[in-house]
Amino acid sequence: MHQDNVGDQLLFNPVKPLPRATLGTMQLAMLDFLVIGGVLLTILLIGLAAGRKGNNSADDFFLGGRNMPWWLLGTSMVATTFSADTPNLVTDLVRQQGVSGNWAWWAFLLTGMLTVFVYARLWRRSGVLTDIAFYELRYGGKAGAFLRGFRAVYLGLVFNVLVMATVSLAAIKLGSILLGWPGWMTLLVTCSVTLLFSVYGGLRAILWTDLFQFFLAMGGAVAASVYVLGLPEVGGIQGLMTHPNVIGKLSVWPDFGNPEVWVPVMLVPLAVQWWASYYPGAEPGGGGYIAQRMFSARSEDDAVGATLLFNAAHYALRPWPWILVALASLIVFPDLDAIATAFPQLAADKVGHDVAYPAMLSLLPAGLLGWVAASLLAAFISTMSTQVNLGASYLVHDGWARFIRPYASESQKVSAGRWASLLSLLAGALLSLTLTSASQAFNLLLLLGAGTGGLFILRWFWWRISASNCGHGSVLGSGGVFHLGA
Amino acid sequence: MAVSLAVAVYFTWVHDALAAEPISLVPALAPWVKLVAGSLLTTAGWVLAAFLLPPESRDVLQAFVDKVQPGGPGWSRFPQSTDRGASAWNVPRALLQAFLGCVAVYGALLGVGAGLFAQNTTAVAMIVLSTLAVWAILRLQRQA
Repeated sequence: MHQDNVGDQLLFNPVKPLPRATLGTMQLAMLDFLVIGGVLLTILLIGLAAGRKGNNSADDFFLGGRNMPWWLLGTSMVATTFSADTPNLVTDLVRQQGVSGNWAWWAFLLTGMLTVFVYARLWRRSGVLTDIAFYELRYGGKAGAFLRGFRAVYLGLVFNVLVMATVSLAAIKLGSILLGWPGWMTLLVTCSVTLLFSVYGGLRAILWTDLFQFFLAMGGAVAASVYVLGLPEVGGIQGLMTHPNVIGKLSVWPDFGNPEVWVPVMLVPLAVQWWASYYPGAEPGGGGYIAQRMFSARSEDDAVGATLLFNAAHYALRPWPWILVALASLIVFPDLDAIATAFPQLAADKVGHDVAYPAMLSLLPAGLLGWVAASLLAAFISTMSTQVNLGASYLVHDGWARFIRPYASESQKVSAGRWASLLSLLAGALLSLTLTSASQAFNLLLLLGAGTGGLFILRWFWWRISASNCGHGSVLGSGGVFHLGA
Repeated sequence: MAVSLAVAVYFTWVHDALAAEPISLVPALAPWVKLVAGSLLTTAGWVLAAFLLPPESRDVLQAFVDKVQPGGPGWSRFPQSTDRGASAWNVPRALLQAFLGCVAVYGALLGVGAGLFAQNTTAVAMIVLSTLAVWAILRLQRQA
């Protein structure tokens, strides 16, 4: 009913997109490119400086010597989870479902808090180097070894490459809209920086560049939202709240009178999705790069503090600047045609609601535009560097060194880690050309892990969970991947 | 586990084909229905398997308990080898803290949002709720 009214008003009072002249192919001024260049150089220098300190063993390269403080680890978790595609995903949800659509990812706070208070100490106590080395700690014999090897290839290669492809897709769209660059050029520049410091310095370099990226990105997101709200078309918070394009999208609660809305938007994420799905950064009980940072902590208390900081900042601190820009985009670019018209250089298969965020950024003034664009490129670099290092840790520690070269020296493991980093990053970047939207990728990742979450939660506390149970989960995951290729 | 795998394959490949015109043997299902049904059936499958399939060897499980010391009724058959392990079962308190943590973070999230949109009463209420939850978490932690 409400949406019909909004539709009527749009029909009779269409919002005009900005003139083409303000949205040309090349959006950035020289000042912006200087800012971007400065940021990329700073990231590189921080990474190289931080990475100088000892990378003589797998513990050093993949876990920073297991001596990292909570604030550095927690900030790194937040920075890594903020990928270049995260604001795009939030924008996609807000434009299509309203603010309440964010419950799809807000619901993951439940598993995040379980990780903080129940699992963080257990993970740190286990003393493993990767979360899939846990398989041979908890399960014995050939079945445990098979699971570890299978997951090393599945998570280290297939799943990890898919995640990197997803975030690379966002970088391609960002580069196309803001920089006027073809996808290969955006990936070449950002992936080169990523490889240089992450291959050289390992996790320690990644953690320190993440710290810089977090503050850069948060500042950029807040500054961008303040500027966008001040645009004449938007008219501040008051203008935003009263605009017919936005009114129906404002509520944080779905329409409880319509089960077709509130059941999928809120009930399913809060009742099922958070414990049943295996989603990167919100694995039930902790896993992936969150677990990697818990292993890197200098104590159990640091592991708890890091995950607590992560969940508080990720869910409570970060979303609103993105949501405000997404809502404002409904005024400036009310539909996909408006985006396609304003950005004719954007390939037709890349036009989606998710690109409304970088489209809004194109309205920022020189200097600020460079800052925000740089922060998003830095977010991409942060996520990619983490995925590269994590995937390499699986392939080397749980695959190559476990099954092929069990007597490999520590320096050989580090060398293998560097090669695995290079190859997996190249694979992820190339795959990104086949995906089309952030929501598609998000749903795909949920599908891959559906139903396996309870195993990850209970395996710590119930002796009956065995390798046979977990093997079943792995097979289901691989089934999803084959489906992707079909 | 063959049953659970069959369910996943069915929802992934078969169901949409059966629901498509002109066959329409089954009703089409929304993606969220598939997610829920697949999750519940898969979960039921592995829980059943946990009771039917043999567990890991006692030595492996005892070594796990000795190293990680998870505690609790799920490991009651396996003696805790250290004093620390005997007192390590803090999951009920941890679950309460996790719940309060959700209240604190959701309260802050919604409070900030309400404040941005000038809903001042809601904003204050949410922030107060969030603060109380943090206080309760810290109090529980001190009692541990």
